[in-house]
Amino acid sequence: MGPSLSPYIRFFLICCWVTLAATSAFGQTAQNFAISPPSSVNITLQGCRNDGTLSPANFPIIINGTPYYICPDKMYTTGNLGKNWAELDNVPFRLIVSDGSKGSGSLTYNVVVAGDNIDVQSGTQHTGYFVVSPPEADPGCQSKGGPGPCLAQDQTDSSCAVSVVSAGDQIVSGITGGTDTTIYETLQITQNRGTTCVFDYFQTLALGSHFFNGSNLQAYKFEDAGFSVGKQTVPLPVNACSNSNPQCQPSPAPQGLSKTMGASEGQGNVWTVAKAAPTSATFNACNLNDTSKNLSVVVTWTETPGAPGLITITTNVYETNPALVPVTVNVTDTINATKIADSSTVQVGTASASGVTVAPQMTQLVLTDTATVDPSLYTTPFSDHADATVVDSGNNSLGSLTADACIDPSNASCTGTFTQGSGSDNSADVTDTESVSDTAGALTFSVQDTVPSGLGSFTFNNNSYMLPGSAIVGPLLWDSDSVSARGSIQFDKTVYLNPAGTATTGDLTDTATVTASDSKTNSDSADVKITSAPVTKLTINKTIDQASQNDLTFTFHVVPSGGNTDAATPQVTIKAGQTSGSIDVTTLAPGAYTVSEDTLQGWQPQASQNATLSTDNTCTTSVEFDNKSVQDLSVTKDAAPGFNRTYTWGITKSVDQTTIDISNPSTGATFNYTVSVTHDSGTDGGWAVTGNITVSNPNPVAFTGVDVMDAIDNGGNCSISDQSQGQNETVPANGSIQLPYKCTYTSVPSPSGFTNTATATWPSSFGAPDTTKSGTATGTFSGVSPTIVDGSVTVTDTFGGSLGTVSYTDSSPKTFKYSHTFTGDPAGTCTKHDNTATFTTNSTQSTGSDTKEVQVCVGADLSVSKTVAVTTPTYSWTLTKSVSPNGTLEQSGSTTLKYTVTASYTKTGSWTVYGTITVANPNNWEDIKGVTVTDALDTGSNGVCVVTGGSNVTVPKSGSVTLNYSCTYSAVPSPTSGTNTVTATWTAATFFTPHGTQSGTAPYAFSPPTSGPTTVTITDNFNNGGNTTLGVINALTNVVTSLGSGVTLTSAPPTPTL
Amino acid sequence: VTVTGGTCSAIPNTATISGTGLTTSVTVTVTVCNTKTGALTMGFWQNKNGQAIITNSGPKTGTCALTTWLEQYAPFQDLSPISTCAQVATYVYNIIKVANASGASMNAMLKAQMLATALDVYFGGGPGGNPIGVPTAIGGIKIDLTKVCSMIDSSNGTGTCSGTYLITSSAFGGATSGTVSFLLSYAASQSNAGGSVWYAQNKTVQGLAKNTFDSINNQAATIAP
Repeated sequence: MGPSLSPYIRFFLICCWVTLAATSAFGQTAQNFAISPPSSVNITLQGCRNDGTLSPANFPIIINGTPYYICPDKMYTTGNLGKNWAELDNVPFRLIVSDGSKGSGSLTYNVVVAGDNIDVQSGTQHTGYFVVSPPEADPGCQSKGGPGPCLAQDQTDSSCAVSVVSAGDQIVSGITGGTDTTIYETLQITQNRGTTCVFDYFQTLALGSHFFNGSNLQAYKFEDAGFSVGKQTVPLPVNACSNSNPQCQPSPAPQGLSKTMGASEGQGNVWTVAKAAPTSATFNACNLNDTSKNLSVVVTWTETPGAPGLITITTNVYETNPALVPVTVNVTDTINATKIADSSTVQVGTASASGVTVAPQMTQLVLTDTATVDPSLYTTPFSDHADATVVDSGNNSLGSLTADACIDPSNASCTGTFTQGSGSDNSADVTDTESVSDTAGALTFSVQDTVPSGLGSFTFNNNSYMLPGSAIVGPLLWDSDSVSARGSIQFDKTVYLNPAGTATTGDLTDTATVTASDSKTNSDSADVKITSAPVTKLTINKTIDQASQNDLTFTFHVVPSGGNTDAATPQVTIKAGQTSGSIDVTTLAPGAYTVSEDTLQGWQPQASQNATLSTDNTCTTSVEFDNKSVQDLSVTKDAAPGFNRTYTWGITKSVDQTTIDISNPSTGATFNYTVSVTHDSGTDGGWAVTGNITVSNPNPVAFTGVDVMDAIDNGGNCSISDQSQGQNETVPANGSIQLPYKCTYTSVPSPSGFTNTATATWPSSFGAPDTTKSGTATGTFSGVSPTIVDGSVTVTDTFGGSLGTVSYTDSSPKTFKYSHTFTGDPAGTCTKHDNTATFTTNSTQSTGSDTKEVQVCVGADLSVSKTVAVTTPTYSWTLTKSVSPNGTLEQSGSTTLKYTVTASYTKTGSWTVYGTITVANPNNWEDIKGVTVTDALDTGSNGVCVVTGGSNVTVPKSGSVTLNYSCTYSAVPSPTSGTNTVTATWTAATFFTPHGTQSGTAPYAFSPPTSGPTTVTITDNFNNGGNTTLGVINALTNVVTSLGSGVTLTSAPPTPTL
Repeated sequence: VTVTGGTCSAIPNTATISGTGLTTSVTVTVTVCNTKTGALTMGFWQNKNGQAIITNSGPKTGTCALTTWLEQYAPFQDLSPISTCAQVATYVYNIIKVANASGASMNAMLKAQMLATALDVYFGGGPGGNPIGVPTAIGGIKIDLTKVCSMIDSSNGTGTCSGTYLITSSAFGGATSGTVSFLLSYAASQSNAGGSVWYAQNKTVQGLAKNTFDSINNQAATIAP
């Protein structure tokens, strides 16, 4: 691709090989391919996605006068290269080669780069790529001898070198599906270990490549001689637009040939006008900075001397070059006229031109053909046919183009004009009208300059349009004023997109007209297709933590947010020995997407990621998927055999007497005890293998749902004793779990030797190579010493305390003796004392015991209580009165009345102290018999007491005896109050009581000693005249005193009458 | 004891015994009635003292007030209704003069005794004032009709109690007692004008009525309480 090797020269060479390959390409072996890349080398093929921002102004890059077909870094992709490439364009590609090995020294290996070449469909052959340029390292890097900054972000190590080892471009057939031949080069690359190389090259699109069969033209990279290993494809879309859709954009944009045709009769001169204009301009709707495009239109007017009286026929032939490179054409044109005599078509003129260069992305006049005929001999229709051959710099044909035109007033399809005038046409006026229109109304244009400047003037809306002009949609009129000779003018225009990012399609139309002084006109138009569409790129970068021995292809799903259908299903293949790869997805519409990855067996699942393509990122973004490999869990274990020898123990207890009666609890009662402990000779059992199972997880993610089992081969039953019992366990990331297990036996294990196996099983969803792993341990019961179970006991006693320890090695039985005195027991009852001797084994803490019960009976004194009540006499009185005479008296003078008053009393009852005596026995264990009960008043009292049934009384245990007593008086009691005492007497020694007698007292009182008055006063009231005392009567003495005047006592008490 | 003539009084006497917790009383009551009403006999009203009281009772001219008062009782309607006091005195004098209890009836005696009683009422605290000086207005004194003394009348117009007591209720409509004014009214109701036919001329009943008025006039009637 350097200045010494033109792509067109190479094409010539390839043409020769095409011929050879067509007959000898059956070996399907890349020429001179000797060494495949080592597994440490990762090679990525990228192509330049033309988003419309490439123009002749910025592409190719010119370094020291040499064009380099290299795009900006950001335009390289592993995906679709877009619809903006054109036939004959040199499409840039790039190999990024990275070696992951360490150490010194260099690597040398071969790589094949290729492209779809020829496809034959229905007998028609179409060519896709017809040139593969030699790759070369970054030509810009000053640090590596270049003239300036590096053109690639991934800088090429200075050790990197590449050369084409095949004999130039080669053709091979049948190595890719659907394409007949493939053009390729075998490269040899040399680099130091651990370095990265970037090599740029291009592939040229053939004339007619937009007819290539299929939807894409593919570029390839292979890493073996057989065109199979390390294959990578980069597509470029193909669309012939055969559906006649006017909005269809052919891809790659085709080269084209067109023409205009005119005829005039009777004119002195023939004026024609022609336009050269870019074919198209493209905005990237995702790039808000992409708001203007500069383009130029050239209008050329020509004066051809006319032939008076004759018909002058003129045709202009144009070539449209949409490519970013100039093209060269050889053109031949012929003009035919109809002979009046026999209506035959006769060639009347011809012209040709060679080596006409058409500038990049321009439509340009390449030939004018003129013929003069006699109107008496020739007439319409006039026809014209042009043939153009596109040639390379060596004038080798790259393909041909044709164009036809005609003039026939009776045929509307013939668009050529035929004018007849006066011949006064030595001058002309040239005008050009420009407008822009688009579907979104977002396009405007302005004219910035003209070459030559100052020619003519611009008018917009009948006003002058001064340069540089403002943005308008037109029509903008340019008028040349009068011209008298051939000339041209170049309009430098800018097309604007506003608002930025608007998606639209439109046309910048431009019609030039030359009007001769005899008013004859000739016109030509140009139409620049303007497109604004989003150009997106989603890059999926994929890395793995360790290289694989085989190629790994990861499949991704790019789904619009909220949707469930893939918008794209790209794949990234990481070749054996490599740890990274990537792919660009360039077919997406702007929007938000979710990118998910199909889990590949042996690799950990990846979380989905979100990606948004918008003007915020010029619709270019990337996602990273970093995979970790999954490894099997590992299982290890240990195993320890063992069994038990268990001893059985017994205990008994005896005492010298079981009951002792006492009267004094502080002295107490003493008992003598004997404890006897026995054991057997032991029993074997509990054969078991125990240990731990360790399940380890080397992965950075936890394994759940892991089931662990354990088994042994000599008759034992094994179980895992953690909380989950080995089921649904979780083994933490980069960690392990330890599960205790135990294998048990119902009898002596046989054989004694064993193999113990633990197995872990986990779900396949973790992607590990396997889903189960086992670990084993071996052992034998032979020679295993038993574990002594309950080999000794400690003996304790309720009152004896700790009696000591007995071992299975001691003789059986072993006895312990001790005495115990019980004091402080409560009186009146028998207190039982349980005394338990207990043994506790040392291993199982099993216990055994024996209990002896004794009782201590303590005697208590009887208790005596009594009630006291007294009786006293009651005095009650009656009063009567009579008068004489009584009733109603008739008097004629005074009358004397005589009254009699009688007061009398009655004495009821006597003085007595009486009640009940209660003798209670508090002892619940013995009756008290032979008890004597007496009662007495205070000394000097005139009362005498008697207890009914108070001798030889038996008081039952926990019971009582109640006796009546009475103290009587023969006169008024003296004293009238005092203490009444009862006394019980029994034999203390017989009944173990502290004492032999008990008394009880109760106070008594005659208060008042009588009831009712014993002294009364008798008064009298006559006819309400006031009280007078009749006398005072004392019942205790039966004496009447204080007799009133005139009162006579007629009888003595108790019935005194006054 | 002595009570006002023509009245009865209850005389109570209460004995009380009192001691500790004891107070008890006994009362006896005696009723004493005084028969000394101040009433005057027929002889008084016929003598000059009695006649003078009537004649001077007024008014001095014209119909005597006593005439009108006596005319309310049928037996005295034989007195001219326009009689002067002197004429009334004459009328009284004549009636008493002819008083006689013999025969098949004793209309004249009954009329004379009743007239004396009427005059006692008129001049003993009644409309004629109290020229005769009674302690209690005679018309309001209540007479016990179950114990009326059978009177023995003398010729001078006075009477004494025979010691025999009568029940005169049947002469006064069955009442056991009644005021003197009531007795006058009831007896008058049993008579025609002038007293010629009285108590259907039943002499026994006439005698019961005559003894009732007679004992009143002689201050021998039992006073009812």
